Amino acid sequence: MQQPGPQQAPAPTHGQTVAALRHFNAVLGELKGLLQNPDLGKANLKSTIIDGMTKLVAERIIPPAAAVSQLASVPDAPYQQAQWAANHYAQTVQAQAAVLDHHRQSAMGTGNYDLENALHSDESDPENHLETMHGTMAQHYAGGQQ
Amino acid sequence: MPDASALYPAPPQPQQGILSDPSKLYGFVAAAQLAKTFAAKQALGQAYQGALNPDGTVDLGKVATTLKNDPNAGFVLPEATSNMLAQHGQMISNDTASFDQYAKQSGFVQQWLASRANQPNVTKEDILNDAVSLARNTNPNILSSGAINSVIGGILSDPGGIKSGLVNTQNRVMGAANAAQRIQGPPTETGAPTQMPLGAAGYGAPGGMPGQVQTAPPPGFGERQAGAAALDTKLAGGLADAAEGSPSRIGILGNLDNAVDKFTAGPGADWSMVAKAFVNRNVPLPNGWQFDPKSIASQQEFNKQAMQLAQQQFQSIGGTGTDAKFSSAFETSPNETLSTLGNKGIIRLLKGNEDALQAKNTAWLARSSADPNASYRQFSQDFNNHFDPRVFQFKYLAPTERKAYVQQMDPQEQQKFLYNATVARKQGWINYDMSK
Repeated sequence: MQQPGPQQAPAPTHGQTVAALRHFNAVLGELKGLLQNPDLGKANLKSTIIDGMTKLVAERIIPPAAAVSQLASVPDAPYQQAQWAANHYAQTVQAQAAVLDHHRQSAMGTGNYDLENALHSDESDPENHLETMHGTMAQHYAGGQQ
Repeated sequence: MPDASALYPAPPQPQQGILSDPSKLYGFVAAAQLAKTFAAKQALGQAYQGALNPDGTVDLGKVATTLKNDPNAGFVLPEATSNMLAQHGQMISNDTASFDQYAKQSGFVQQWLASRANQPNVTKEDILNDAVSLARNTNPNILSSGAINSVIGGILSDPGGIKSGLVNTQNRVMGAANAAQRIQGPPTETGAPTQMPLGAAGYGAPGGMPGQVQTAPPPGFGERQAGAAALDTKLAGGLADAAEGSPSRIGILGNLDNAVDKFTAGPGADWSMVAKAFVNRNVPLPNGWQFDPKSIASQQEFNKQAMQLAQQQFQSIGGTGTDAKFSSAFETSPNETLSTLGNKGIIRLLKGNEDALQAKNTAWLARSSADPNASYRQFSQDFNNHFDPRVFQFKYLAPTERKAYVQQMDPQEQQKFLYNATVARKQGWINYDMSK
């Protein structure tokens, strides 16, 4: 049986899409730092990766359980860590565009920036980021990973 | 005797194999490396080829998955991994160019940039909200979601901050030619208009609110300037009026100086003049016994001139008719009830004051000619820093009096007086040598 993908699921709301972009931007920031590390691929950077993941948890971008799950997938070999980081980076860039694509496919804009701002600017509260993301995953991307 | 050794089989000659010549071994290794590199690069190329989207962008996720599963790619995978950021950087660059092109024709994007780039405190949350609004209000077939994300990511990670990222985007969309257009900039401290490039306007005026350039002077500036100018004009006019009447007053002072020697000034001089005139008119005295009519005439002339001087001083202190002001002017002017020496002292002081007045007027005319916008109050403050009326009065003292005048000062006061006199001479306010 085919899993419902982003294209089949109902599109995320403005607030949920903003939360997703917030999530992806934060993750990309950490991964970019890791990919720019000259020791990546040459030395075991697991502690650096743990630090980055801890920061994301502290900023309430990802829940602790998801961080533990992600860290379990980090290989020990330097070469494989480089591969892991590159894969995650590419997947995050792709996922970020996919969520935005999903939203714009079904949501209609007014064409007036001030009106858009008045209608939607307070739909996403960063204080409730984890809750919003949890709702987004449950409603639109069931079975997906954060 | 035949050699027995000939019966033994000859030892085998060494074969010319790959291990016999190290240079050949190295050549073999190099060939193997070349083959692996070729295969790996071919795998890499195929991965990118397979991940190429119709719009020319590269699906990096697909590249990564293909490379992961292709054993040939292993040989260059570290290189490919390190290239991931470079590839994404190139993708962002392409996205940005495509966004800029789209933005030039999109009213919504231009509204967004005009609005956000002029706000002082734009937050990351504002920009993320804008990304979603842009996605809803733009054509996905022309502006991809990846391009929106690239531009938004660029704004959020701009080294100069979000505000700078927005203005940079706005300037890019505007184009170099438009950004270089000159517009009205913030006025100078004196309110003079300035110009600045349109592209720089978004960054805001130094010390001002970012994104906002105040082209008009602050509220009340014009009124304050007008008030200050009116005050300057009034003060400068007062000086000019006073200087205008100065030659006449100097003439009167000279006459007073001459006349005061020709009669006996002091307390009761007014009554004695009346008595002398009465006696000369009514008492039949021989000619040689009469009071000298010239002395009486000199005293009368002195009184008249003293009154004229008092009236002029009365006007110069803004006199409009009250007795108190006129009395003040009269009592501080030479008059017959003062002793001759007292009158001469006052006359010298007043002459020095007139010289000082003329020197100040000359200096102001020079300053205002050089700078028509010069402030009189500023000039007056500068002038008064070293302006000492005693320096001008000094000129009218006899050499012995000058010496005594300076000697009666305390050493600190002497120093200050001589310094001010030197400045006055250097400035051309006085033309006599103090050292003599």
